[in-house]
Amino acid sequence: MYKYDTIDQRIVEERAAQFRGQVERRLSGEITEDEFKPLRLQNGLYMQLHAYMLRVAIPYGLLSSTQLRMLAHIARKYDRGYGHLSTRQNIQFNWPKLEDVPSILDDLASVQMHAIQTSGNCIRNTTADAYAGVARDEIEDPRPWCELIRQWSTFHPEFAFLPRKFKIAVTGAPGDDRAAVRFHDIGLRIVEGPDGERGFEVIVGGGLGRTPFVGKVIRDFLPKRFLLSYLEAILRVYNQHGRRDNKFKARIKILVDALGAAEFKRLVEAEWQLIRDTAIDVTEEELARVEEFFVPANYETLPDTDSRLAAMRLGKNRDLGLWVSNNVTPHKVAGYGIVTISVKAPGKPPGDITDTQMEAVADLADRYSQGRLVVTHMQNLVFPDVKTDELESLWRELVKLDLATANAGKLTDMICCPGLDYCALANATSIPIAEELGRHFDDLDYLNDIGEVSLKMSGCINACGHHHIGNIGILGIDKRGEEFYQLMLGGSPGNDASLGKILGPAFAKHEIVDAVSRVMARYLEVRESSDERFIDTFRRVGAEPFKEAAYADHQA
Amino acid sequence: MQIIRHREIVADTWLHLDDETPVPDAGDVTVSLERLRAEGEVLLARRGALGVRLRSDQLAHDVSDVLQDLDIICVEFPKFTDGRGYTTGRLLRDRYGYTKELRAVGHVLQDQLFYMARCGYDSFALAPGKNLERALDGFADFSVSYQAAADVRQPIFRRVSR
Amino acid sequence: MALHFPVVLSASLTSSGAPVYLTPDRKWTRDLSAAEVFTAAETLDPVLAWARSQEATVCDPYAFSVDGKAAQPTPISARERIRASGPTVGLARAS
Repeated sequence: MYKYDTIDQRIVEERAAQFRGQVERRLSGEITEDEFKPLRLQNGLYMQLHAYMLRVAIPYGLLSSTQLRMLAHIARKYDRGYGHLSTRQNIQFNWPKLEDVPSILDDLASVQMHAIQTSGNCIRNTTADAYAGVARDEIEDPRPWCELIRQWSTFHPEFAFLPRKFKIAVTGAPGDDRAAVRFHDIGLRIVEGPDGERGFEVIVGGGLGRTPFVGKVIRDFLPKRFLLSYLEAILRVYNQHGRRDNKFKARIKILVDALGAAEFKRLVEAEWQLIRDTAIDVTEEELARVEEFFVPANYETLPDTDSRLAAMRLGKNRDLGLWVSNNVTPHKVAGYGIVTISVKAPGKPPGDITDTQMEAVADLADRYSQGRLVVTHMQNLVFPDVKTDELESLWRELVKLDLATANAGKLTDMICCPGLDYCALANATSIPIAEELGRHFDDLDYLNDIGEVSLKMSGCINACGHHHIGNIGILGIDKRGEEFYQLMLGGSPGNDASLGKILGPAFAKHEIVDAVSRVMARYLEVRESSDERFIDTFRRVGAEPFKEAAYADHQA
Repeated sequence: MQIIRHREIVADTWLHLDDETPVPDAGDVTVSLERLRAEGEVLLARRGALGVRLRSDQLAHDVSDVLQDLDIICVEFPKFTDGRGYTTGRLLRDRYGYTKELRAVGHVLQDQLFYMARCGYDSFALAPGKNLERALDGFADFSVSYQAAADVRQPIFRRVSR
Repeated sequence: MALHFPVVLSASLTSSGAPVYLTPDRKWTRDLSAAEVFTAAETLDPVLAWARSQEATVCDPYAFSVDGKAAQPTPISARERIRASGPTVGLARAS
């Protein structure tokens, strides 16, 4: 993984010092809270319902075991012993004190981490395919480009006060988009061009929130070397022309929609013609320097173990078999597997992880995955490089930590925002619904029978829980002081991107889990075979059968 | 009024005219872009230097044809969260070759000075009540930057061997 | 949105972000039951203006509705109920 040189290190240390000064000026009354707010937000420090919340950047989700140990230390020393993995591959701490935050930033800087631009109207942490570098279907590792974007966007002087926040996601696996690139301000797909040359497909203006849009392709093929100048052109057009009169209409998706993709593209291309082939774009030497950090690890030459994995899936140990089936993905190198560590144990808040679990996982990463792991946008962890031989041993260790739930990609592998239990913007709780769903669907055989289905849940219209792009989406709303939940079906984040549609009237809190349960039961009745995924059945039969099931006993 | 110019605290020597006040015969004045368009010949014929004040929605390209007549451009930041002026600064410097004084006015605060300086601003009229001495520290928040901008024309990887 | 009286005046502590409530003697307390209940804008507004000048101690003061029939200040909204009592779920350790 990327290692800081003295320049990178100096920048994060100077940032921590700068923030210490800003906190001092706030506490001395030299700057007002209104003036301080955007400054703390640019360091990921929010004011939530019960306390401050600090969001720490995990660039493209990649962590070393050393860094994870520091996160455990921070959780224990400055917080209440746990952290929350976010859908943007970051980690959030729910209880820091303002005066401690500069020290937390110092601690982070000591392990090459920071909270820079994890909030505020600026370019946020760049996210990537959680299987980057190890996926079989990947044509090129996107992470060197993510790191180049990280450096280009860090304190970019022109783009620190954009109309609204700005999120970029990158994938190098054209066949299977695990990074939801069509739902970002900019999505980048590494693709092969006409002559076999690699480049980026550039997608702009996707997003969720109160106005969801699937992003539009504005360039089919951008030679890789032009990435930074092209990004600069897009950001420059947005910074000048994005709306600033209404924060609900300030995202780039609204600008792209208002101008039309063709006109937006024209503006970007006109700007780009004036800045391409200037100093902005990365040199071959710099690209090579950054790529060097992501050269494949020292894999042993091992025999192919696909048949062995197949045997494990059906082996005598049912629990292990289910876990290998659901949580182990084929690796591009023979003899290795990609392991998803589910942070979705039944009855636990999705994505919450304790300091003890973090430390234990760090030790396991050292033993089983070359000291590296990934935070996924599904709010799980991934060990990218586990030898097939060692899967069973790793599984036994994870079981002890309550981190071996065999539900990756299944219904209870939910995305869930913090909701009204923590968030100052939320209208309804989401974690209690997730916990109840986890308890209701705790039969792994039943989950496996249902097969691949995604459930995503948000406690308000801002859609941090991506409810529009869940096969099943749940949106919490407030009706005269009571929590209600809208159910939507048919969303998908990937290459077959689609937005879910609301099924009907909202459900009361005590009804929503039952409604999901009836939808699943109806799916099992109407699917053509066990190979037809829920989303495929939904697309074939439409919403009506599910609506009928969901509202069977509903007193609306 | 005191301002920061070339990283020193100095008195503002410009007279900033609104659109109604008659133009004095002499002295250095700034006017709105609308007044510059309406009264350009008169303004240029008088003794004294001339500058223009841009609102945040008036972009670099809106003044690119008159830059040779101007000795100062003031760009307004109505709220410090309105970041259009950063692009305006960079384009005036990088694209249109403007070399005279470029001043940030309005809700200008210590924590923006580093970014503004990188985008080509060399003078700063801070928000009322702000401590200018302390604000000077803002230029030194960072000793190194990754990107190319109006101050340092090369990104870090073209400046140093990493 | 119109404010329905009676209300309690609340804010977040600058130091920790913790929710606090204003008492009749103009102190901030973590204990909702000790909060002053305001029944009209004429009495609330000057106190709210004062609270906004207390930035060194508290951020973002605002008023929320409470149940006029309850013996103690009881929030109407789920948000304020949870804000007063803490997360309904979670891994928070007893500490």
